[in-house]
Amino acid sequence: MPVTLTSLDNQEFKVDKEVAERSILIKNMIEDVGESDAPIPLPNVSAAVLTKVIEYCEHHRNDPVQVQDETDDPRKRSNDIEEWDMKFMQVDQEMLFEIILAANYLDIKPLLDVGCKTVANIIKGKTPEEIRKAFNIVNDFTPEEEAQIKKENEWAEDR
Amino acid sequence: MNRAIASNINDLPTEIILQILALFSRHESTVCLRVSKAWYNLFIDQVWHKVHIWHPDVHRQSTNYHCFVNCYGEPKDSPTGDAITTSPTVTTVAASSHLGPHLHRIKVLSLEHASLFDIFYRAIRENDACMDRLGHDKALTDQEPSSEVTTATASVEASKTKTKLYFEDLGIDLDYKGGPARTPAQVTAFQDVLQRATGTLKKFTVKFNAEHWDPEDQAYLLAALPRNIEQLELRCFGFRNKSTRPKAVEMERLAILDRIAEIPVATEAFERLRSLTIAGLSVDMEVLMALLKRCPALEELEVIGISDNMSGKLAQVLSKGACCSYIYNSSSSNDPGFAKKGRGGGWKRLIFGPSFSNSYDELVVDAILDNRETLEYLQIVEVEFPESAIQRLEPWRVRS
Repeated sequence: MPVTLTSLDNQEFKVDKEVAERSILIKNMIEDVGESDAPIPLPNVSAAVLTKVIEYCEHHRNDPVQVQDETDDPRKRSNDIEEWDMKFMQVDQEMLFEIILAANYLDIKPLLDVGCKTVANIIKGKTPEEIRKAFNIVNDFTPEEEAQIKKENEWAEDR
Repeated sequence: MNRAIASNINDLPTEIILQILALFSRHESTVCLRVSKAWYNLFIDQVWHKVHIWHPDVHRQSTNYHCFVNCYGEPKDSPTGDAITTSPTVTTVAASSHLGPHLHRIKVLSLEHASLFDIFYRAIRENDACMDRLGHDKALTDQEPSSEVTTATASVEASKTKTKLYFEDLGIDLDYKGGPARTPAQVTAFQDVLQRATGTLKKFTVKFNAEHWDPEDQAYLLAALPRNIEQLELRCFGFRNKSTRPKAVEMERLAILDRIAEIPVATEAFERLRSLTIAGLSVDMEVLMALLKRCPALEELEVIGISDNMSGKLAQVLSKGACCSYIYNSSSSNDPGFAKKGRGGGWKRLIFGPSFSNSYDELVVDAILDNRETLEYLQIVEVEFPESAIQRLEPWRVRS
């Protein structure tokens, strides 16, 4: 049975219930309201972003519920993005952040995880200057301050 | 309704930022510190969250510490661990100056050698002195020019300021090879550190080497037992081969646990204890029972080094409510609500093993099964059970 989702800009999207229910927020709303044809308003998500989110949910409609392995080292997990997800996340930065915000709002944990890993992968392996360029960040440190921070923290090593 | 818009990474909500930060290694985080002031504020707590202070000469295996501070530079330039108990070298001073500004950020501290504690304490004292100077300067600025009494009072007030510590997990390795025992000043320093972290400290781990054990270290160890902790780990190593272990050392290892169980200061420390690990000590069952009866909140027990081969006694220790029976039967407690603090339940996590290959009968299995409602994890080391017993224990993870 399809459900209707209404975006911030009042655009309506008809999607299968099982696809919509990849979002825990929507799943709970459907359970609370019961059988109804009324559209579900999503005032925090624009049509452009909702289109992307629905595309993700369609692709992952049959995925099993994610079980997190607590013993897994989170630092090693940013490289385990599926190929389809990696391509899906090849969007401009504003859209990337919007997808992350939407996944957080709609409570779609796998999408939120992929979004966070994508951001982490953009940062990893870059110098501070390269990170500034990638995210259009202004360096507000004086050269002395930056040198001091480097000196203060270079004692620490990775294990 | 206002919609959150994120056009920059800094616009993301804190919980998402934290999720992204968790994906970085410590080195990656230190690079990010230098991007901008906003990023510095985002990353700096994570960089100093876990600190493991070590020396190349005494380095052993470490596990998953983000921050790993080598206080002495390269091994060729540094004194050995035995020689660094008192006079700080140039490198120790440099190391402590880097620790100072970040002391309040450290939540997990591991000191791989007892003498490295001196570095940590030096950093604290330097921070104290810095705060004293700031307080004194402020008093001078605020006061009337002729008010000498006010100046003196302000100076005294400022000297009372102490650097607060917020660590939750403290581990110290008391291994040293023939070095001097802890001095009273060092014991006082250690107690001072623990007092500064009283509000947050939940886990305390002490490792010591039986081969280089000095009787005076007992006083050090006992004085160091903090209050309000929930997890206590006592790990002894050395003399792994029982046949080569001198009798005197064996007795000393027994006495360590005995004394810990008896000291009055430990009573308060044990009251809130949820998890207790005793590894490498020769654990006498009677002493262990006496200890457990003072731990009404205990849920997790790890004992490696059980010295006797008596299933009946071990069964008593492992039986449901072993850690709180004393509380319920006690008439000595003046606190009428004290009995309610005991769980009255069974063990949640059990790890046990003898100090040498051993076998136990079904009494022990009965005691374990007595905890079936609460037991979540079971590990048995180097123990032989009859096949029927192993089948009965099947619901839990069993290693042999």
